[in-house]
Amino acid sequence: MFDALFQFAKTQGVRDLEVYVEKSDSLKIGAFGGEIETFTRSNVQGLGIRLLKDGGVGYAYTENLNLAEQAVQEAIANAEFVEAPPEISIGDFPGVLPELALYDPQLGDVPVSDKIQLALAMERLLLAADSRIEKVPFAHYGETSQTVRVLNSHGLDRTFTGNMASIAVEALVQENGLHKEHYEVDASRRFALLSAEKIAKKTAEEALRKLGSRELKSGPYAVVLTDEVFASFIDVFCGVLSAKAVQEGKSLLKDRIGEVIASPLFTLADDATRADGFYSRPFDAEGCPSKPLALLSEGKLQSYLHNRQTANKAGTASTGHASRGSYKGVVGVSPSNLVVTPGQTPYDALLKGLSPGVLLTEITGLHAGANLISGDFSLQAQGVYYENGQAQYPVHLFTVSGNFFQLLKDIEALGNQAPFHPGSRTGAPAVRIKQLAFAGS
Amino acid sequence: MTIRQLAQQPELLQQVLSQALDRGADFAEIFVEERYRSGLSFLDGRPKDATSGRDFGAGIRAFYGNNAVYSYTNDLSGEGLLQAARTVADAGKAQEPTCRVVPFRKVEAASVTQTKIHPMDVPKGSKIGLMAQCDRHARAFDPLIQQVEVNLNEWVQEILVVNSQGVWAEDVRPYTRLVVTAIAKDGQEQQTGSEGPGNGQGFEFIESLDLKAISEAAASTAVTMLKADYAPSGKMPVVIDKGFGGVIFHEACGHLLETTSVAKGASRMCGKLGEKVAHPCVTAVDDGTLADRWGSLTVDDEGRKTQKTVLIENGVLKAYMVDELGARKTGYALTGSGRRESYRYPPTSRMRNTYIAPGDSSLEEMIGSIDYGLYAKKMGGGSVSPGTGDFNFSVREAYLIRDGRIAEPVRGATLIGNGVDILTKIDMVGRDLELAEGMCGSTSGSIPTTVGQPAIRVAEIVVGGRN
Repeated sequence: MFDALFQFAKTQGVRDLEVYVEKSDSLKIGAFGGEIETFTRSNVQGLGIRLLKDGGVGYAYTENLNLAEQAVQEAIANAEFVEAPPEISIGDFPGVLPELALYDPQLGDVPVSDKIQLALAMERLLLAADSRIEKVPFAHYGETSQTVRVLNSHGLDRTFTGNMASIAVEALVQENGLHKEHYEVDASRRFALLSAEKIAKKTAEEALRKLGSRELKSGPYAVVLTDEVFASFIDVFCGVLSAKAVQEGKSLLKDRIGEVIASPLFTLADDATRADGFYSRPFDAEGCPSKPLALLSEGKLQSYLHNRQTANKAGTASTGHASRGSYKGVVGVSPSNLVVTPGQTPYDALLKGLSPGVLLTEITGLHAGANLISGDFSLQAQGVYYENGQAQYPVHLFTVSGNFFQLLKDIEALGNQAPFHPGSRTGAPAVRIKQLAFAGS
Repeated sequence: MTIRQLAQQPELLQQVLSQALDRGADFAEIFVEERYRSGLSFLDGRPKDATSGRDFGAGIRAFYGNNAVYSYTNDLSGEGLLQAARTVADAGKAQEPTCRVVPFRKVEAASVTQTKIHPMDVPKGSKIGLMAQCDRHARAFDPLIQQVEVNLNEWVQEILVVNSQGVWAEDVRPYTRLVVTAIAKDGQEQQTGSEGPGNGQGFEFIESLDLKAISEAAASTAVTMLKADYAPSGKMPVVIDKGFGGVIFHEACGHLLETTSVAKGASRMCGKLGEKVAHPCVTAVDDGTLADRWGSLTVDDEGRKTQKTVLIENGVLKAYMVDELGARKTGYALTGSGRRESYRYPPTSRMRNTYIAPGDSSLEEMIGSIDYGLYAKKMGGGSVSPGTGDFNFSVREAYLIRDGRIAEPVRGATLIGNGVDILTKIDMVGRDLELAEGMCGSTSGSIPTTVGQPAIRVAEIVVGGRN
């Protein structure tokens, strides 16, 4: 289909053309009040163009694949205004792709009625679990299947297809005039592994645990982050490891390769080939084959994440981290699955170190309260207040503040399990941090 | 087919609606969208990326009582639309349709937003020239400015909405936004400042801007924050400045008044119409009719005329923001608030231009009334859980108030609280209303909205600093 497009581009004087095509199908089912209140199906696609011409670089996209030539012409017009830096190049990436099982054909064969029953069951089980559970504002089942194809005029042509099913549910609880809520997600390629019982039980437990939440007195405290909370911090701040951010003067990790920037207990890698990760893919947005990458080893910064352009500028090779938000985006840099090496400390032992201290179970407002340029954060949070290593009462309506780079240095102990959770790209353990600043009452 | 071509084929659209109603649906709607978008960025003192493109698609929706089925596709051929309609009909259980399509009547509404200069008609070279000016002004402001990024995002969205009740509505909506971000660096620390004016206009908006003032304001925030100490922590009185300060109302209350959550009984503001929910000095409005504004609409994404909705009047709750499904579920009147990011989302009730109306106090009076507190000058985004009312929003540039005067600058922090409580604590409202542009995210995607207010005083709120 694209041979004609490449031919067309040649007639326009373009020797370096890259095409990025995405096609996706989705299904989303929402249960409410014992009925299916929303049901959405989709089938969409789009195509993104990047090209080099006469020393310029230009992008364009279209959602009508029959208008690809028009998109090429638009990209050519755009390329007149942006000088291509010398390190930009479009080319082949020889090498073997890792074999990843990202598509389960059975998912599409499971009858829709089963998926409907799953959504209805989540709401039903939650409402039946406890009289203090007032409402289940949403109970969703979702499924997407996506094909990504990257081709360029230097012979590269790679495709992969992946799918995933997910469930999400929120419970509102109330007792003595205090309203709390909790939200859980689960995901798997195998429908049989998604359990309404399991998610309803977890959601109910976590929501009810927040009843009786009190305010927290402002001040510095020792802190334990649950594995999910630590993973969220890394999800938000991992952009500081992007060579693009470094080269654009947006990351404080500039010129610090080889330096110890975190606790020696902290080892972080990126691995797009992990079977248990949710961001696995066999190649990146430029078609570069995926392979694991050591980022921090025992606190020492080993590498940034690179695409071809940033690697050329740094005199190294692409690490396979080119990304486009979608076919509409420009080529940037993103991590895939981030893997924190677990430590030795059992979870209970981490908590024993809180005297006093706070177990942080939830952080919100990450998109607004985290500053990647400075590393500072100030976030709404919830958790449990501890004294002498014993849980005292749940706490809420407080913020936790600090600086991400300092947090990594202040790691005292790491938990011994680091699972991946859906909704996050990071598999991290729970962690105890020496101190963070808390503001409440 | 293009949207222009589809607009010439009402019979086809009627056929598609009938197909959607085939198995017992009692309402069907087609939303067709075409969008042209252009993005230019400027970094390191030169153009960085130039991109442009087109979105095409349609979403077909059907209601079965209070339940909605939706299907979206890029395939705008007759067969593509009929296929999407069939998908939506398949959810029904009836053997035959129970409802018929009413003849179309075009919604006549005076255009609230107009494109005087289409982004495609301006040479890219001139756009880049203006961005280069912003870069120079920001860098010239202070030698500590190490990096400046300028982004110019322009798009024109064309929509056609028809439904089985005979609604036929069309709209062409331009959006233009310029964002200047400056990074100030000093040794091992760096801080940032940003200004992002936008409007529901074409390129004429950029021509109306004072680029020097905007660029210097971004640079000034970055430099001031670099030299500032950490913000205080704990509960204290706060004066929130006009404009983007309105994010407090957007998060603490706005989302709680959308039938998106109210219709499910999942908002703390359910069942409170006619009740006192805020301090008497608070009157709050959500208005889609303001000419040329970023959050305005001639018709909403369900084809309904927009309006000015008074949400709270002198502290009393007067109205919710209501979309088609919300009206169906609650019985409240439509407010022209049905919005969606694109054809990829079914619409739901959302905000437009949301602001606290001007009051009687002056900024000096507010500052003067506080012994120790915070003056929040520039705000960032935030979020809320409507079911509990717990909200947060970030402050990007702030100053301590000591003994009734503005004192030293302090670094940003997040302010948090519970909306039900905070509304009663807004106890002084200033005179000069200003609106500011942002993007709001929710279940129907990310949409342009403005927030706004005059300066206000909040008697007590938690400030999430480090001191």
